[in-house]
Amino acid sequence: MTENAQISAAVRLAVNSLPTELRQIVVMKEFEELTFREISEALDLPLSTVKSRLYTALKQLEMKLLRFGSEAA
Amino acid sequence: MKETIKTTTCDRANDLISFLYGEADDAESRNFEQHLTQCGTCQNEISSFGQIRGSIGTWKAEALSSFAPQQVMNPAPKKSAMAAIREFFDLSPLWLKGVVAFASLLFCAMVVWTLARSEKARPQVVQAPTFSQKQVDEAVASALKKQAEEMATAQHQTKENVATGNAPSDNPAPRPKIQVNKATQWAKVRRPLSKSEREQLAADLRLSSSSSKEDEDNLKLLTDRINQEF
Repeated sequence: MTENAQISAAVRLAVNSLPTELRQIVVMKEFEELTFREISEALDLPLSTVKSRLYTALKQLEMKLLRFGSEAA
Repeated sequence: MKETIKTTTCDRANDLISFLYGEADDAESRNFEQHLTQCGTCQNEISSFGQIRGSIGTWKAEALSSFAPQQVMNPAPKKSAMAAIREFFDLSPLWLKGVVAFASLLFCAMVVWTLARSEKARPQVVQAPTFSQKQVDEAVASALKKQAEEMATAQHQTKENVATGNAPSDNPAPRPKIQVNKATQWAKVRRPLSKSEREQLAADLRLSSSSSKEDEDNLKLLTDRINQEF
């Protein structure tokens, strides 16, 4: 398996393991490339909540990916 | 990626996110850039989140490259009818297989029944009897022979009639035998002419012809023959 494939597999696992409300924000921002305002309107959430949820999601992904990296090593 | 997880947080998390995704306006961007120079936590998070975004980008690109081009370059091959039926039976549950099998059998039975009925309803063609050339010749020869016999019989009957003085029939066709017999029987039943009748007949004949002695003799002979005949 190539390095990119390993990274892809790890990120996919990490994103899929996020709580739904966080995974939803990640998918809308990273894959659908919506703005924070569009996401807040779509989910009927305050703009600040969208930003804080994305911050929390990125923090959890950081922790999960570090754990995957240490297990792989 | 960092080896340790920093648990310290900054209260400008939302500004960091806006800056990270490029959605902060110019004033906010300048303000947060100034904050970055003083906040190590935000610097570390900007670096860490950037790497995570890069990893997500790699996943996204790989997923797109392994999915979309295959679909474009390798369209789904057309399946044959048999393959489609096989796949249908592979995927369908057992009860559906049973229903399909029963429906197929029912359809075949109906087809057979319909064919049998149409065959029975079709009018039977009656074959005309065929005769061989020999049979035809024999039939013709038999008919000719029969006709010749009838003609010979008729001629013989005519000669007899002439010899017995009976007037020939107006009809030249041979009379059927049964009719001749009936006439003979009827003639036999007739009684002979009485004396007065003979005299009346002679008088009638005398009126129609000259009354010579020879005629009278002939008449007498004729009368006797008639009496003998009947």
